[in-house]
Amino acid sequence: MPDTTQRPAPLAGIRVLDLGQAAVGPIAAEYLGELGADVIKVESPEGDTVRRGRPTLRGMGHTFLGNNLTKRGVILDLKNPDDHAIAERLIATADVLIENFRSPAVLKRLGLGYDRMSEINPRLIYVQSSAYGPRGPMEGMTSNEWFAQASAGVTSVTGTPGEAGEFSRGTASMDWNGAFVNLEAILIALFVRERTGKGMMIYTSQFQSAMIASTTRIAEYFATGQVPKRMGSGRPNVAPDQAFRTSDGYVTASVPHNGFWPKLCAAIGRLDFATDPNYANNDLRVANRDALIAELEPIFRDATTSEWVARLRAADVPVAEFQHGPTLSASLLEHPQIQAERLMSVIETPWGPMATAEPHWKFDKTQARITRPAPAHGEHTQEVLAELGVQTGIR
Amino acid sequence: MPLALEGLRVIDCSQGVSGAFCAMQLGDLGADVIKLEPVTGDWLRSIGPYQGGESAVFLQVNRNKRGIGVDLKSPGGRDVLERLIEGADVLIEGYRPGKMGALGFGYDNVSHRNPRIVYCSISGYGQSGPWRDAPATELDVQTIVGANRHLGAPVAAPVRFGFDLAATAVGMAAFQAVMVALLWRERTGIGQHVDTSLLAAFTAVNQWTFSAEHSHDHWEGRTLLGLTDPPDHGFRTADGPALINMRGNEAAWNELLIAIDRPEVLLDPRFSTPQAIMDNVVALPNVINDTLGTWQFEDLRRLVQDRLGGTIVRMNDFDQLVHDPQVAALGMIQTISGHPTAGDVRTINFPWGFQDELAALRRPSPVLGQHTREVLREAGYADADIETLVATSAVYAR
Repeated sequence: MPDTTQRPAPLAGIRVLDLGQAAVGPIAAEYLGELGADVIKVESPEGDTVRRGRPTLRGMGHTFLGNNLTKRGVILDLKNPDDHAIAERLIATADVLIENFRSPAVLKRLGLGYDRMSEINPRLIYVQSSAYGPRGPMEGMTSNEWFAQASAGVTSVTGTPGEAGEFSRGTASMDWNGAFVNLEAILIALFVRERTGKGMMIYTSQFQSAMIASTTRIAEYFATGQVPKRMGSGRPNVAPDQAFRTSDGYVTASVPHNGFWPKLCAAIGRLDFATDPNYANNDLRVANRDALIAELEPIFRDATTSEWVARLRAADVPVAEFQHGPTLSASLLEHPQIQAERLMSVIETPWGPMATAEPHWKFDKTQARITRPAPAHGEHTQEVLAELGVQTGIR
Repeated sequence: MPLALEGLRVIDCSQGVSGAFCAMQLGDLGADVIKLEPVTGDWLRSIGPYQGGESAVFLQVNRNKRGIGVDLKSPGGRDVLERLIEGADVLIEGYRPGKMGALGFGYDNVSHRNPRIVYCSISGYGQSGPWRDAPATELDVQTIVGANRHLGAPVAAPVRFGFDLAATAVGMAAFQAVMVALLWRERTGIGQHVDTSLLAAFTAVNQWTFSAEHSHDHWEGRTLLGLTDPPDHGFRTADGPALINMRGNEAAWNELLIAIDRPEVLLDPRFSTPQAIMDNVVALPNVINDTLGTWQFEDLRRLVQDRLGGTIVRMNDFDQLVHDPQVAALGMIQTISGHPTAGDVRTINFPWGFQDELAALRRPSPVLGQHTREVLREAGYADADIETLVATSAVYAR
């Protein structure tokens, strides 16, 4: 859809208090900010821990910069009675509060449990996003991206056959996945509130969210009882759907369902495969996978990656060029499809330019946008207090 | 108390996983979801493994829906969708951009008929651009965005992230967009066209990587810190690998090494100071795995977690995951009964913990055409007309 006009932000007028740390709380709040909410990040005097993570950009943790776009930042020491009172004033004005402490006990001990929050503001939506959820033997345990991946079974299905399992590195995939679930929860609650006039408390956990990410693999396991194994670039129940070595690298080729099989056969110049009874449908291709791949591998080795990309693209077969190599961001920023769809941009921040994803949804009557960079620690404390009408000295 | 989206009607015209997943979540929240498939069925039904003759993945992502088979190329079939659109709040489609328009069901036409409708398009690469018409799979998007560049060894065969993370991410992205549009509609009375793509959702999930690569003060490169410097495989126990985190507590590491009867490791300069342990923890598994490998996970858990205040989790395989007491405590796996051929089907529960009942597992996935007659009757078709549609293959009814 063309983006030539200023359309209104769909969640304008919603106020969000982000008491989260690191990722699963803050990223969900960031998305609400992209959708137009007024997001206030409430940090302790020590600040969000990922301000100090690596890598940094002019000394500021990159994770913080990427997870806290669109927000204003205030410092409140919730153990200090004056700041506690200010927090309560903010709660009175807010629609959503999200935090991802290890359990609801943390805010409760600070006198800001849901009982108190809902007493101040019955319309408040409170999301408590812990690592392992509100019950069970792991309740209250802390976690991190690696623990989330480990407990959800990522390493059991990621890696080279015969070798030990691997963690997915680079982005913290379970963190972002958990934030997606948190955003869902908040949007559901906002909708319910339109009907009931009331807020609510919602529990989410990284553990549950990670199981959502493994939906298809677990569904397959439920049917077979067979523990899925690591398959390199392949996939247990579809063939072919993997990387193939070319004369100068690797290309991925996929036949996600049978409509694409004759197209691949045409692209590789082997129409005889299209009528081979051993490969007539996905079930047969999976059953005869070893023979099939043994036939395909030498074919792919015989041309370059870019030749294969061109041939498969022309034949309407899903294909991608695999890149080993240290950096990708420059090429992604210049990727013609990323540019056409405006999926990434470089924004100016007080710490320098940074590349970021743009909002991942498009709307035809409203608009999501990145409204401002992440805040400096306490950058907007005075401004927010003034809005509340709070008299302050030097803080 | 009604479920969250009770009273809303959703038409799920998508095939495959992602659109179905979005529609499933709307159905979990109480919407009346009608899955509209071609008369030959959603292609996902042809992807194994199977339970009771039905695709396991299809069973998982199509619960809480009624199913009808409709040939949208036939006049009779088009009439069916036109009628259903009139009463619909949400329509979800996952076809190549322009295909629904070519069938006469693009957003312009549909919103003309029903201005309140929220119309959600899910594509591979987006509604515009040089790749708009190209088909996209999980593997394509993982590869293009570079999620799998950090897996495997630098010049060895590629390795994919073993979950279909992009497929579920875009399913959730679509759900988010639909909910935002429904909220907007509550305020304004107007519907909206929302769109997302595998590429958009997965680019968002991978923001950290390309953001960090693009501009940074100094960076070691491939990964985040500590336990995951490649290729790290955790600590070994008698029941498989585990991660251990003493949370910066040097005394706890010391006590662990003593408790497992490896005190000499403390003399190793790589592990003899707090900073050294933190800097070199990646090397620790190789040094102590032989010893740890004689410990049962549960005994090690009692030592690490209960006695020493650290955290430890097993690197679960799916048997271990599914039987994990934490999964049971949270009710993450439920059983839905009543599927005509698959019987009782285990399913992964929705991830939101509401205090009131706002979501529920109400019905299993439909077999093809299971509810065609029922839905058409509700839409005002007379029985004789329904049978004509069936006889001419404009619709499929079981």
